[in-house]
Amino acid sequence: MDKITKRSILLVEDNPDDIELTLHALEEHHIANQVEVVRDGEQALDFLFRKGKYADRPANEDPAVVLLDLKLPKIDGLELLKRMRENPNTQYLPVVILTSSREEQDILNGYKLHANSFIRKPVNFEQFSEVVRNLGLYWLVINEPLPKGE
Amino acid sequence: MKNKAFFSKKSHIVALIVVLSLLTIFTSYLYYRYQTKNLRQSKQEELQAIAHLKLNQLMRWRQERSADAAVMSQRRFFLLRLDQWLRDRDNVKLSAAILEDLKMVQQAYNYESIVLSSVDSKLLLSSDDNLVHFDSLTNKKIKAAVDNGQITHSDFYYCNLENKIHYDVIAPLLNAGNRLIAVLILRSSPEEFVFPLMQSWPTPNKTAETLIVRQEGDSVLFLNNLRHLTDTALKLRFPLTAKEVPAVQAILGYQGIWGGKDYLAKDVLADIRPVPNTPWYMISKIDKSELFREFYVEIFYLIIFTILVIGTISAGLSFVYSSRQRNIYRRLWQSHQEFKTTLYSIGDAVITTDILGRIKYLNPVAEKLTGWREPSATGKALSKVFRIVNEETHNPVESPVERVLKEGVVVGLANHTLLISRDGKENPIADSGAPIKDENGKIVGVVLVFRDQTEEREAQKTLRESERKLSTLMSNLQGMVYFCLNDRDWTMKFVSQGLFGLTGYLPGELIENKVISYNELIHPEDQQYVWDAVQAALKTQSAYTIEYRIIARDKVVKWVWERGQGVFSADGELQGLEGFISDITERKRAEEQLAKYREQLEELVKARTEDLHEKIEKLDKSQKALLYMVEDLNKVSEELKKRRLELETTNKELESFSYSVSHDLRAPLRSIDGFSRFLQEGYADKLDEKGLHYLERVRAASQRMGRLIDDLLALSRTARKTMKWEPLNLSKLAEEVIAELREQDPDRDVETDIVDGKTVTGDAQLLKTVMENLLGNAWKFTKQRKKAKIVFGVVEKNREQQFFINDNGAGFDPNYADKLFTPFQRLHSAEEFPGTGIGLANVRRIISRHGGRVWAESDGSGKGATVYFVI
Repeated sequence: MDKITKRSILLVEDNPDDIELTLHALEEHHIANQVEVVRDGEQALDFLFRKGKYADRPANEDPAVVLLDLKLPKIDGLELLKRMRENPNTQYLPVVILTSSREEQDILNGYKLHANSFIRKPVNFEQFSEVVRNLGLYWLVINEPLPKGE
Repeated sequence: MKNKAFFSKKSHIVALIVVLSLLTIFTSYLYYRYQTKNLRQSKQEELQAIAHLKLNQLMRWRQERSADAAVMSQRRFFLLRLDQWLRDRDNVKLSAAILEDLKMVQQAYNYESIVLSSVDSKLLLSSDDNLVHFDSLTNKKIKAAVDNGQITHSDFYYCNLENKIHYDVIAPLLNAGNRLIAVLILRSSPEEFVFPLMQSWPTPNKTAETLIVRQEGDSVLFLNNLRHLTDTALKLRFPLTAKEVPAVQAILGYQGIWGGKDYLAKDVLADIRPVPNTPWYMISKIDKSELFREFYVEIFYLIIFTILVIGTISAGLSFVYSSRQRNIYRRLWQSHQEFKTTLYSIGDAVITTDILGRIKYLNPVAEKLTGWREPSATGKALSKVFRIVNEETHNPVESPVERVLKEGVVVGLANHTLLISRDGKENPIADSGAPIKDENGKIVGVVLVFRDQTEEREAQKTLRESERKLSTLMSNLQGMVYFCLNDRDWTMKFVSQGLFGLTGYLPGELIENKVISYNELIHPEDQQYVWDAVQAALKTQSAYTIEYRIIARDKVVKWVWERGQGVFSADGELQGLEGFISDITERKRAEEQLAKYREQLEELVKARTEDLHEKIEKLDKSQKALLYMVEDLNKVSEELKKRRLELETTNKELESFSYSVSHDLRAPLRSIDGFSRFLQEGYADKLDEKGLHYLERVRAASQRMGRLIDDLLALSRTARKTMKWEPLNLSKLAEEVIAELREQDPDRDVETDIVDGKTVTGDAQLLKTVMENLLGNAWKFTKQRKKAKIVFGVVEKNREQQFFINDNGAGFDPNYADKLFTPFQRLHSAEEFPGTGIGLANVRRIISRHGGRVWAESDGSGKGATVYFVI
């Protein structure tokens, strides 16, 4: 569990219900303490590129994974993903698209921009909770991150 | 040309050389003979001339002796003195004077001695003091002279006293009173004059000499000394039997030229003649070897010359021969090349063989036909390369080469022969073989010429076929084909079988006008017309087409149609007419009928025309009405276009609506479900049982709402999806779906029966949705059956394939069959069979998009259901 405490999750989500449900699910599986939540695309960019209120965010503490909703105010999810991939610092940062949409076009665009996963949020909470648990387990524990400085 | 042929044979050349050589030798021999004769002649003449000369000298010498004796015996003074002395023997003076006289004469006339003898042979006086008496022989001579009173010659004789040969002339001396008083002896030594004379020769030579011989008993005596033997005079003798010796011949009476052997047994040529008034014979001879020496030289040169001439002739002829041979070989090579070039370039196949039938040449055409290359075929037996069989029986055919060798003449091969090539290909061929003969007419080989007859046979076959067709055609023709002469009878040379049907006569009866002429068959009124029409056409060498009447055998008049033309030879001469005649009686009748009808028709048309005018007016009006209708249609079509645009807009709106539904409607549901769950978990103790039950209902409702949204989205996607047409196996799709169902619900025991290998063309994804829905329904509605059965099959009805999925499940009330496919329409309670009521609506939409239709049948509740679809 040591590893998990050090590594964090960035949750990009504007729906407060979903934030709460996600955090609840993570909490259920004891991986809630490392979650940073931003409410729109702009905030997410500030966080990732250390701007605005996140300017002082210490280096070497990038999240292990970004959970990204597609429908976001100001800058939507796909646009955000695109900018991340254009920036060398976040080029390889794992991004899991977590959305209610099952539109094929959305899935296709997401993968085109090198999303690492595309997950549809189930309506049933038990199922949703299970998805979140698997996500946390995979990205925080199983997956080997990119070596530092690369 | 004959000359050339003559020179080209070696034996001829040799014979010619021999003949020319013999001719040369013969000529040389003749020349030799001629020269020998000439030389002999001239030598003989020379010999005779010399002999003659010698004889004259000998005789003159003898006459001189006689004359001397006569002179001495006539000297009066001498005689007178002698007479005196004889009477006065002691008169020394007188005797001295007489002796003086004798000595003077002896010296003057070069006698050996002159002697006076008394009549009784007593020596009186002698110039030679040594002589004192006479030998007996001299005594006899004196006596003879005394007896006949004549001057007498002695022969050569050998004097025993003096041991030398003498020749004496004895003359009786008479005194004035004619009384014999003494005898005068004039003695000569032949060795002084006569013998050297005989030995000498007027021309320089080595062997020529003259002999004087006389007979003595039965032998011949040589009187003089010889050139080649010493001391022969009066000593050498030959018996008369040695007849080859000229001296013997002389004694035997031969005169003239004699060739024989001399005393040294050498071949000599001799002239033999007697010396007149003597018993002597003079023989002049010369060795033949000497005589012919110069001729031997000449012979030598002649032989050399002959040899040279023969050599030259031989060399010359040999050269001519060899150059001729070279020429022959060159020409032979040339003709060989010519032969090869010809052989290799002619269009027919050629094979030549030797006398044993082994192949020598094979030209390229033959190579092609036999399949053998020349190098590999050369030397092989012909039967191996040239394999021929009978076309029908395939039995081997006798090789033409064997036949040629056997019969020695040109033979043609039997027809219907197949040549089997090396690779087994069979070609019909025509061929012939001919013997190759040498100049003596002996067969030395065979040349075989053959030709691929495939095309020829084809052509023949085609020809036969077309002939057969023509003949069939002619016999089937409704009418007759003819060839006739251009005369007033139209004399027929050929008519086809159609004649019988036309006229009732057989071809044999009409040809050559045997029974009837064609002109007699023509209706009398039409005969002139036919003649004129044909002659007019012939003038321009064009075809004629005429229609006229004929009278058949049964007197029935028929109309005929004839088309024909003149047949002209290459030089424009008319050979006859050929053409075709057919029966047109029926047509003529029809034409007459038609003419009648035409009149009626014209009247009818007049009446109808008026009618038509009215109708046309009416039509005009209708046309106008139609035009208005078209205008209306255009308007409708424009309206439709507008509607379609509106529909497209609506569709797009629907799309964005669906998107919102998928996103925005689901989110609150998730919140409802999530927070209800938190309540159940975190606040269960604060709620009573009823409260918890309501929470459960809330969650169930929200989850059902989630499924409804998903199905609606699927329905809308189906409508919008771009179709991808491809062939796909519906049976396989059904198997897959059933397998998935079994996996999801492993406890169920369902019997399935899926027809094999049914394929359709359509969108794979959409049709999978169809199968999922239909089979899923069947699966779902049979869950209460213990022995559930699902069938996927196909029936052929109204010439279309109707696929169906049949189950023995819950079924439905057939009165509501139509409603099954309406969205959200359900015929069963959700408790009984859960579902959203969207599935079959979706199926209908997909099938519609494929241009098909779908319907369901059931015998009522609990009796199972069958859903049919046609794509």
